[in-house]
Amino acid sequence: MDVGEILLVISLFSALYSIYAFYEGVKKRSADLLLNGERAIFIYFLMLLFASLLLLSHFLSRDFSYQYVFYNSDSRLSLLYTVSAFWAGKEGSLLLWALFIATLNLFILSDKKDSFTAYTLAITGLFLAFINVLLLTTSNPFARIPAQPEGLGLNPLLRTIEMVLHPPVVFLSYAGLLIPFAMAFSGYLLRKEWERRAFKYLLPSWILLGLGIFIGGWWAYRTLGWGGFWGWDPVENSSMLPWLTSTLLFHTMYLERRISDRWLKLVNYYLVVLTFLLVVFATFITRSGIISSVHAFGEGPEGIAFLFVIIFTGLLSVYIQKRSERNFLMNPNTEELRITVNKETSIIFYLIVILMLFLAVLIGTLMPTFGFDVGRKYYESIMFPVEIILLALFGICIRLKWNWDGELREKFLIPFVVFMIVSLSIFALFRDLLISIATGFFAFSLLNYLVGVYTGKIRFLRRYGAYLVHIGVMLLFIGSIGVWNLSDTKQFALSLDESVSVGNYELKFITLDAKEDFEKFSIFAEIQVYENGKLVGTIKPEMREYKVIRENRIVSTVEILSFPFHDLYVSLNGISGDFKKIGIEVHINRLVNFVWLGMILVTAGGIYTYLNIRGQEKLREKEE
Amino acid sequence: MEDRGKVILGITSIAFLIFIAYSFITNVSPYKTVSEVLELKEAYNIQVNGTIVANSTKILGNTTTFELTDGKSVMKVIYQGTTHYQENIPVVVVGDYKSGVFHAYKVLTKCHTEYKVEKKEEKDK
Repeated sequence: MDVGEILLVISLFSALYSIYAFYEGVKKRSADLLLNGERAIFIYFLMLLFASLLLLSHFLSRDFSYQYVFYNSDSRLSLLYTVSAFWAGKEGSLLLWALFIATLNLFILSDKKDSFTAYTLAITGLFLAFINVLLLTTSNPFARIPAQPEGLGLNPLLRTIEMVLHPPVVFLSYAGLLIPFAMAFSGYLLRKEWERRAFKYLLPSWILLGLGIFIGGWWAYRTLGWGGFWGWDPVENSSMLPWLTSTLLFHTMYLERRISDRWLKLVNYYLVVLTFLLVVFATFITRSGIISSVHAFGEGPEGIAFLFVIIFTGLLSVYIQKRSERNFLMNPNTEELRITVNKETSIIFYLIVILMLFLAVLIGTLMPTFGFDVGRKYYESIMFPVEIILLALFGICIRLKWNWDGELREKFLIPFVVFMIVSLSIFALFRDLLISIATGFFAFSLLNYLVGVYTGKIRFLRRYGAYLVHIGVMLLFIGSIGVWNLSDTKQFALSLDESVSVGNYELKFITLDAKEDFEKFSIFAEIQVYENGKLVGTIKPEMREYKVIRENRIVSTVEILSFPFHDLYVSLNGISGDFKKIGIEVHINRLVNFVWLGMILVTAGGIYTYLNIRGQEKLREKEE
Repeated sequence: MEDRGKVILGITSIAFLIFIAYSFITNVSPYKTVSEVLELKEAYNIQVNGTIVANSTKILGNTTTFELTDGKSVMKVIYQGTTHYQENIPVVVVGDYKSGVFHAYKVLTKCHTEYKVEKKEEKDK
């Protein structure tokens, strides 16, 4: 047995023991058992840490007798990418996930040590044990093969800084999302309030998941060469689904704090469960490595194991909720949601829109299982109305009062006039209905937000984080409508010295040249870009062949000339055998910078809110 | 929640669901194998799994043609655009089948951990 496997076996047994210790410790009120449970956490954390370091050392020492190292690296790989090759495949990613879960369990230990924490740790320990079993069976990173002189090399598409960062960020968020779920279960089992304590882990996990998705979109845009930042394929969709449900969860939690409707309590509970199930689903899809990945659920023991966890946890959540409900008086003075002109109604409508978007994406993602597929057109036709409705709803919601609001005319007359003016002028300029309505509502909502900030009170400082997030989402919507609806795409075959024009631009193919470095050969085309006859830049898109023995070793690079309101995006598609002709794909992507700016604001707003809440907590602790 | 509220929310949700169903039906594209496609006269917006036959690729200006096989039958594919796949690998082509030729508007190649989309998305298809 390999040393790594021994470490994983010890980790598995300490995880299993910790479950027993925490469960029995609470039941028997035994401080000794609880202390042993804590010790078990330290042990599995250390074992997983050592196992990870060991795997890393196999990568660094280029030990190609390990299957995982053989598949994901080679001896020419630079130090940074050799480290990132750790999480380039399924086995390493699962190990990293397990290590993150163990690390976060140590964090939970620093919380209040009560039965709630103990149950939470038992549940997170159970899931950790599940991953640990996979690591020892179907996804063993320490599996050996007869020693090879050279590895297959890292997939060239993953040799970017974005793909160094993306997997750890996403898996850290996935580990984080396990905790609110475990807390919801232990809350229901112990009949205790769980939302407040779960929120502390939910918010940073949501920020990280968003950040991970954004890095992925940025990578796709700059690497894949098809001109977009979001392709709506199962891998991308599956990471968006838990992000959508956790976004929903924030809003139902926010509502529930205001109006203690019993129904909202249930929605909170099931949303947190659903979010976690989607995380499990996403991990399976992302790391199964098959194109229409949902097919793979039926194939092989691992797919069945993941499916089992999803179904079992889903059923268990219903059972726990039903069992606990009888004696679980959530709040004696329960209020009811009233659907009328008020803030809560606008939030409920918002929730319905997001829920529908969620369903649409889920259906689209699952369809390949049933032999159908839908293209980007399907998602875009859903997204456009969703974006328009939300752009308007944001601005309405911020100004409405709780319970009842009758001052509609005073509040919305001026913003409505602004909407009309902006929409009509944009329409006059660009003759595109969608973008005119979208920018009109954007101006409408932005004005309402500014008024909201202006009339807001200082004690609501932490609201500014949420404002920032919403304004970021609005920018993201405007940007995506621009990219999806206003962009131009053209393909050309170009001979030497030939020019083609796209929009205001003229592209001239000057020369073809080659270069070689330690890890790859590149052929690059030099293309001059003129705007209205004036030279604005020279781009050199490349076709690279990496010196690796894996099949997919040829990639083309993307060159982007970025301007405030659009990008000129060029990728090299092909080179003729006699080196006299090239095939290029040119995109003019409008408003794409709004997408990036929006993503930055969403992340920044999230971080601001988190720091603000932590600051208030610290203040409260000091006062106590 | 009062009844009137439930009705309003219900109607909104149903309207949305109808909209999703409509978008779905207008955009759905079924999977077929090469043999299944050859039995059809015409088919639009379908996805076909297969392997690119070695040495079958010809590039003429902006057009790529190649042959796709499922091991039993062979189908000719025309793709408006240039790609840089290697032959003999499994791919998925998306497009229309008419008069004995498959007109692809997307060629998807599979890889080990990630895959790359190589496509020419016609904007107003």
